[in-house]
Amino acid sequence: MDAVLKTIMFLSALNCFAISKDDRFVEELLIKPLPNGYVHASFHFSIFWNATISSSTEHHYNLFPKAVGQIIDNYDVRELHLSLTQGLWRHDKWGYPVRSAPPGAELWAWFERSASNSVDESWAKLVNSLSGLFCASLNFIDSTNTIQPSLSFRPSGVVNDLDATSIEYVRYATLPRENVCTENLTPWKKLLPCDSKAGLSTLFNAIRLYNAHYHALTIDLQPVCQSFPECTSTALHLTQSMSVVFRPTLSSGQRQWTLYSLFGNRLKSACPLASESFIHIDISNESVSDDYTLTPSPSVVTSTGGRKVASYNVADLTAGQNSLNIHFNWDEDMTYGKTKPPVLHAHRFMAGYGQEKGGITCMIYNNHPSQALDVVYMESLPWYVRLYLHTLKIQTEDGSDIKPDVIKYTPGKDRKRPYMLELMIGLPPASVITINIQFERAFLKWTEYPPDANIGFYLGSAVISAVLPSSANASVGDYKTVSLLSSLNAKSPTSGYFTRIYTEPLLLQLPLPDFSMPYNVICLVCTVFAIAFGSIHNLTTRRLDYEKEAKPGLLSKLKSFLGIGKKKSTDSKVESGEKKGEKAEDKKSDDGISKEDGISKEGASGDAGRTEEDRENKKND
Amino acid sequence: MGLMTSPKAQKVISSFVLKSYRPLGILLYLGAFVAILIVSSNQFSANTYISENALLPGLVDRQYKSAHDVAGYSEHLDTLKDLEGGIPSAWLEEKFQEIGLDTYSQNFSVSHPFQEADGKLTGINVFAILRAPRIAGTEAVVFSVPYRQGQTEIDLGSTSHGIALMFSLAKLFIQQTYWSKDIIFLIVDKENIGAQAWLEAYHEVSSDYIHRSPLHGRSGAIMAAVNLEMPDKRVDHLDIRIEGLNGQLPNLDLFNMVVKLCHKEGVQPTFHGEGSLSYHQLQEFFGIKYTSKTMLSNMLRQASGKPYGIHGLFLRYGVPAITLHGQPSGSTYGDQTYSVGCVMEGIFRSINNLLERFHQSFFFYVLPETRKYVSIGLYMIPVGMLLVIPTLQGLALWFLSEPKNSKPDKDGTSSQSNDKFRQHHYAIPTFIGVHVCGVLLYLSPEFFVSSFSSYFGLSSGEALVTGLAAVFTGITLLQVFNKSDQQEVEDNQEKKWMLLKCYALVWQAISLLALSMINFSLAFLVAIFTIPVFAVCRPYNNFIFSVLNKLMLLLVSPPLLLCLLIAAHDIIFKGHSISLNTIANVGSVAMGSIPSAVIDQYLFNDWTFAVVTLVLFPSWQMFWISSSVKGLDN
Repeated sequence: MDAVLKTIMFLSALNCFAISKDDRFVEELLIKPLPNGYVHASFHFSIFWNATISSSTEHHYNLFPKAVGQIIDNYDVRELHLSLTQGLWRHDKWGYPVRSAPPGAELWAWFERSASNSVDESWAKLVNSLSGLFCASLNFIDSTNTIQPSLSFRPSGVVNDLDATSIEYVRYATLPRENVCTENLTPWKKLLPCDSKAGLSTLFNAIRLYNAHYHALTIDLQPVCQSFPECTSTALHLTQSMSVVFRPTLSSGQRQWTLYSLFGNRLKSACPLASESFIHIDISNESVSDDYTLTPSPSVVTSTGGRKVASYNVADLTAGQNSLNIHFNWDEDMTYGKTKPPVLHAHRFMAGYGQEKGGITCMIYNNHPSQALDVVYMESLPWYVRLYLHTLKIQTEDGSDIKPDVIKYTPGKDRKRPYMLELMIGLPPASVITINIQFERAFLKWTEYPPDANIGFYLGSAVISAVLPSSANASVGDYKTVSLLSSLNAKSPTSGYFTRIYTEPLLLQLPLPDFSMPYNVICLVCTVFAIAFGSIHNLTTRRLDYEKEAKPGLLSKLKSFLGIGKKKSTDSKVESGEKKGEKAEDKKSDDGISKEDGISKEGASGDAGRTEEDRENKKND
Repeated sequence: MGLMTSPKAQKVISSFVLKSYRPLGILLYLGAFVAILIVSSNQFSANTYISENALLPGLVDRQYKSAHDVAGYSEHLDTLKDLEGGIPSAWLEEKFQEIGLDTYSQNFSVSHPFQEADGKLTGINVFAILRAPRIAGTEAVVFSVPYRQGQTEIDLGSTSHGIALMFSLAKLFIQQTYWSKDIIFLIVDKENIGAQAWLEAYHEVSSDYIHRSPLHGRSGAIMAAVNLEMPDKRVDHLDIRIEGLNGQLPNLDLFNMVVKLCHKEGVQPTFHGEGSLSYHQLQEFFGIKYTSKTMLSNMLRQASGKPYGIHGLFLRYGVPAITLHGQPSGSTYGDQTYSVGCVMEGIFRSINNLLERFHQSFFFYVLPETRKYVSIGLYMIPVGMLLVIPTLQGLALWFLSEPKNSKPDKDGTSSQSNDKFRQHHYAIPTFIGVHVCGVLLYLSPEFFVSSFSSYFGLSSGEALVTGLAAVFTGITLLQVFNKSDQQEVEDNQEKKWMLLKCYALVWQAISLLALSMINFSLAFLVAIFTIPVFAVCRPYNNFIFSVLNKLMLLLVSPPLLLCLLIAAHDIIFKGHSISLNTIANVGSVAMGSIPSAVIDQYLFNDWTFAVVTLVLFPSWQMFWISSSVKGLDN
């Protein structure tokens, strides 16, 4: 188990490649035909910079975006990972993406140790800066949805100090409800050295991108080794990637696609600032059989380890006034069928119904016929989902329990801190395990409900981190290397292929006061009933036997208060006392008494009134 | 409460209650009748309207162009039906897959204690999910069609054309990029049981009686469900069915939207067989002639607590759901498939527009017509009027049962301490006793089936009815032959029944009021039959009066009340005349409905049996006991 933990923690350190120049920009597009007519297009824009920003503040920014540079400089950020996603990556149908991202927004960062700022302060400032930079609601990230995962989100870049990997320096938050649109795309593409004026980014056509089945914008920043394996100094590696999944068979009814049919644009140039500009098309046997034709023919076809990639050098092919439009033609028409799911995938859903209790169930499928898999399952839930750890049940299909190897649990605090649960579980080969945990829904204060509370509250995806035995079904082997091509062709390292699987987000209904008219009706009806009940209760339980004299009028009360006619008042009191005595003697129940406070002192029971009267009677005697 | 604490006012009130509870009771009872008619009339019921602005029904251009492929699917399915014994799940899955949907199936089987030895029910649900491109699978809408074959197909009408239309629409839907909710296409086997199995699996609720395989594909929270039963391409009208399990209703917006879309696409929508009324029909006696009948039909259906179509089971999971039942026209020309397809497209696109759940509009209503509704604010008035009767009488009996010698002695001690208080020591044990009897009755079904059916060779249904009848008769007769306590003072006997009846009346008012909040129709219909009888029943020394009184009470006892309701339904809606034949028919229907209510309780969590045994039966029994008190002096 330690070995796996170690792998997840330091996996990235193995993948640092040597970079020689001061800064370098690489743009690449990977297109991968997926089963059942889906096409996955993944843009990658990488900038390597042989500098460490925090070392000096007087930097001349060349390719590296200054906006990002300033942010990481100001807030002591060592690593930054942001994704804005629409739709859900369907692992069971599409395999694994180049860079996984959950629906909505996800942000995680590792901070440097710093004397000037506390990590929490830096985090708060960072989310607000990024919120402004990307026009996203990242400013809604606060302590109520920030967690510090200890297993799932280890540094992905190089770390020279083991203390710096303490969870003290990591912050993770998701906003599952965040919508992604052109307002996020525009600032995102402005960070590119060529903006969308030249190069692969000219293919960005918002209408096509946002009609797709999946769309993710990501930005990843991490320190990497300048030279490998010595690793004497580090470089900054900024990757901007965009993933889109199209289904051309639906819109056009045809299986073949071209760059134009997918993006609505032809490619006219490569970005002149890019040292490499490539389009790769994955033509491995697992994704396409042999009945296709590619025009124009690719610049180079590489095949290693079962993966076959056709690459187009954009700079060469768009030289002069040529424009590049790749046609992918299929000889046979599309027939839909069942797809073979990848080794590991998951399905998470809400169990139970009603607005009091509930459960979250996640089914994790290990389809490997012989190999057990160790995975880390992470669940981060807002405070109003009150998790009960004792209800955690992990079972295989036949009902036998599985004991998690590690449980990391941080209970939530109302309005302060979310719940976090991390489990390390061994999945037996060829099995489906079910993780189930029960929760109780909290009541919010009525001002805490959002205006459209009736849609429900979004719960973010669970994250499953695993080291897979091979990179089959994966879009690339490991993308954190210099270029996609090298990672596509990288032989699976002995440690395996690390991936994260994001499950479905959930929609939770909280108990909700009816803010509309029926609520008033209930209030009104309850008031009426209370009055009716009070009256009838009085009528049926009290037995009032004595009639009381008229109460002193308001005027006499006022007089007695002011001291006028004080004497008279005492007189009447004496008189009434005498009267009381007389009346009590002949025991006529309907004769009154005139105690100062009359009936009200008599209480709820006529009997009590009588005894009191009897007592007074004796006293008078 | 100054008024109430003044002894004078108290006297006035009590004397008023004592004087007026009888005439007022009669007035209120008649008033309730009039009121329920009035609220159903054109004058008082309001016009329906779409409350949720986001729905925008019928605003978009329809994209369903042609239903040419429906006939092919339908014919193929019919031939497969003849070939195969059960649901042709493989073929259905294949068709969904060809369209490009994620396809799944689910096996289920049922075993419950009331099952015949050989009758193990198994089935397969087939469903496919259209993953909406614009969301991450957090919300879903269900499009369901029950699969029918053999006897159910003859009884309930075929649905193969509906399944074919579902395929045709799925082809259209998958090409669109505007979906913001996943669409689940669900073909349900074995009617309610299949739907329950699927819903339980979807929400991962465990059940002791329905065993099902887990689902390997799901979408998110279900926002609405639409169930289509289309028998043939020639459809005269679409009957919109809303009543669900335990009388639950879908949001009125869903119903209104369907009606509006039907009108738009030229398909006649009906509610309980009655279409939208014309202006003249609505003007004639305020339309009471039509509206009252439709509303009564709606109420009888709701009171039964049985789902009117498989949509009824979705409601318990907080999913507003509705059934569109196509009535075959019987004519030999015409084809309404395309129009119905457009209606369905419209429904799904409207629901797709929803930004929140259905939460506007009404959840509690009765409908006198497709474009009229009676909201809870109006229909509670007649219920309230009815329930004032037992409350007033209870109050009156409370005053009457007050001991007369309640004056204390001079020295404050009382010589006749027993007489000073009402005889709660008699009433409270009775009150508890009848409820214990109710609980026993509630728990008894399983016992009868396990012990009787094997000894006497009865079927489980018969054993159940016989057993329940035996317990009912036993408990009832126990009170008739009860020896009166001769030691008691005669005057106290008088007070005794009054107090007990007072308890019974108050308890009846409370329980029916609570019931009316959940299932208005059941509470109202029970009240309208029982309240006059309960109001006049009392013990008599005169033998003839006593027997008449007992007969009346028996007539409104829960089993006979069931028969009464069934008879009312048959006479009003099937046009049966009151004859021996009708009575026999009613008897057999009632005999059949009791075991089915018990089984539904086990399988679907139907409350009707529980309400009858735990609430209505004890309440009735208290009246029975109070009018069996003996030793009166009059």
